[in-house]
Amino acid sequence: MSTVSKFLFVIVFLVVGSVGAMTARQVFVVDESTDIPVPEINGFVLQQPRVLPEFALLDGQARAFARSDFESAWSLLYFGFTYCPDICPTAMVEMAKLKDLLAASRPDVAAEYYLVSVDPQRDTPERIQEYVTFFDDSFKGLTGDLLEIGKLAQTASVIHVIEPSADGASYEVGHSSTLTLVDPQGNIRAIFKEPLRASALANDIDRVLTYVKRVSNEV
Amino acid sequence: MQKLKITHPDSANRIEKGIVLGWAVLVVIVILVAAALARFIVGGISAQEFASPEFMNGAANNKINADQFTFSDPWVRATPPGTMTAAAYLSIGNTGEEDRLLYARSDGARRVEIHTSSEQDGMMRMSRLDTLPVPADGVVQLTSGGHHLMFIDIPATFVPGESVIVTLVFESAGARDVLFTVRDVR
Repeated sequence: MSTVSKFLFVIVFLVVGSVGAMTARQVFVVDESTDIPVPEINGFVLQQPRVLPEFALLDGQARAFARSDFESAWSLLYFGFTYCPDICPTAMVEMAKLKDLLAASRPDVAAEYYLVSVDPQRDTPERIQEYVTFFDDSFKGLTGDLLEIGKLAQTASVIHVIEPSADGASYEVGHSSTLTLVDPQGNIRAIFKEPLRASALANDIDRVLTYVKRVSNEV
Repeated sequence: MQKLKITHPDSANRIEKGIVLGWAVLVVIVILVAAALARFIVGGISAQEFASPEFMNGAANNKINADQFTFSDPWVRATPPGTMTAAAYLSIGNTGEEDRLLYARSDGARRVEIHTSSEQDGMMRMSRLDTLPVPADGVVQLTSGGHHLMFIDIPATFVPGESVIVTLVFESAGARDVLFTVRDVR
């Protein structure tokens, strides 16, 4: 086969493949449960709400915080840690801006904002409280046993690791940088990905809330 | 000549006068040239040896301005109370040869490391860089979400408006002190 015909073959293969995939998607995916279109967001809308498991954590006042404490308002969760100098403060700043934007655009939704520590060894309730309220007085921190944090993180599709640093003297923390939207029944409805930017998030959240409302009216 | 001298003594007298005048003009020219030279030489010395302190400062500043590096927008993120770490950002322009940032130090932290934030396997990871290459005739940017200087164990929180000196040590070019301003980006 000449180079030109090989090239043509690849092009034809790609076109046929794409058309096939799109048709399959229309046949098998869209028709799943409802004809209300799922909004395209920078992240994932969970068509099947994901139920949070039971867990036992501590809030910034070292009071017990359980799954039922999410059941009163919409919640936005960011998993991070206070020792983190770059990614987490940036996310917290965007979350504070998001709070102001949503308060203006969706006054009907009084959301609560949480930082869930993935580094409980350093993040005591006092420490996390001091940290989150720097960004907004109303922000809440959650910390506690790493296993309990893991239950919440796993359901939110957040992966996190603690590894010894190269010099062995300290440790390094890695975590997914996402924002999790939890409804007032304690179910995850959407997960937003980096880049987490307040204006885009406010727009996406607005569309998810509209979608959730339409779906629940239909049921 | 013989014939001129004998027959016209008056003419001979005029020739002698001409010669004297010629010599005089030559001497004057030599003196002027010597004076000009002397003035030039003395002037050159005075610029170096009798320079005012202001002049010397000006010269020193010119030397810094001529540095191969330009440090743009150096800032430190203001820290929440009780925080142990901070991140600092700037962009380093380099008009010279390729170099490498080896390390940084500051009185504002027990340790300063060069870090980079990046997404790996679905997680945001922060990893320490041994060195940061600064390309020839290029710019390396330290920005939020990318490379940054990480201040570890800060003795006090960074309050907006304050500033902190950071010494950046390059492999070839040596050390440079850069003044970072604390900024609140909330």
